[in-house]
Amino acid sequence: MTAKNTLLLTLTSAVISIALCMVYQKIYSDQLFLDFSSVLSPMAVIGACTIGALLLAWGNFFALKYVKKHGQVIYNLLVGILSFASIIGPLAQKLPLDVEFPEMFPGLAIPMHFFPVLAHLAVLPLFVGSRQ
Amino acid sequence: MPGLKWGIFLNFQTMKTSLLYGTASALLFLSSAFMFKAAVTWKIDDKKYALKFSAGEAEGVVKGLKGTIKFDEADLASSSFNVTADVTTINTGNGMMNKHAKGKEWLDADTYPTIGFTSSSFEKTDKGYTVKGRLKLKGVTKEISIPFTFIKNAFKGSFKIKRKDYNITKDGVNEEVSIDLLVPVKK
Repeated sequence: MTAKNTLLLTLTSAVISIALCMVYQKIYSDQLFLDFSSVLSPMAVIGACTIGALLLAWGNFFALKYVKKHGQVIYNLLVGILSFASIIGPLAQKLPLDVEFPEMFPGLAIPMHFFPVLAHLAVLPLFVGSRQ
Repeated sequence: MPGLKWGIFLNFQTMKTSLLYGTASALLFLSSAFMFKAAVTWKIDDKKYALKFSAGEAEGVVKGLKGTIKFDEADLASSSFNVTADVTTINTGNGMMNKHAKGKEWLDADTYPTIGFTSSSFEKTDKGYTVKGRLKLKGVTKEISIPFTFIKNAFKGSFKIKRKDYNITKDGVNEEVSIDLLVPVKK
């Protein structure tokens, strides 16, 4: 996996995960008549997905470079476990006291924690060359 | 007939006296009626009030404030507070904490859905006023004092309670709970 492919992987998985998050947030808000945009703004979603995609892609790059045996499998398992562990964040988060129905916030935020890793794993085969 | 004239004169005098006494009584009644000035009854501004509590890391707000607020700075004797807040509206900013707060081990909102305060007396102080009254929380009623100010049609006060006095004994938050009130009102 080259640095160029890593950057392209970052951009592609970021765009896909941002799109997934935006669509999911729109459906969730409209169906349940809730508005958490003051806590989870579009800019925050874009920023978080981009950072997530960057970390995932470059982590993958270094994993393939330094873990010769089953590096990809080990890395995939690791990011899956870390994504799952990250749901503690939305569960423990305290929202501003003027935001209504804080108990509905995890239902919005937790799935979004899986979109970056799903996007990364979905498009990864396009960027990991046959040389690997 | 002098007797008849005297009789008519006496009747007239009696009537005049009765009329005089009656008029005096009416005037006395009217002037007394204006002395009974009731304290102003205030309506709570539903959108702007805030009841905040804080016990270390656990903090939040309670909504559903309603009741009767009668207050007159010039006539504290006829002032009274009789208000309740809805425990089921407690919001700590976290859904799981809200559920715990309403549970049996904490506020037991199913059994005791309201927190109530009924005043018994008011007193003017250097910094504002103090109201003494009974706070009813989780089925326990205790006498408390709440210092407050009344500026620009808003009541603002703070007080502290010990949660174990009200059968809230589970460990996990501070024993002492601070409560801050801001209640804008209108006539």
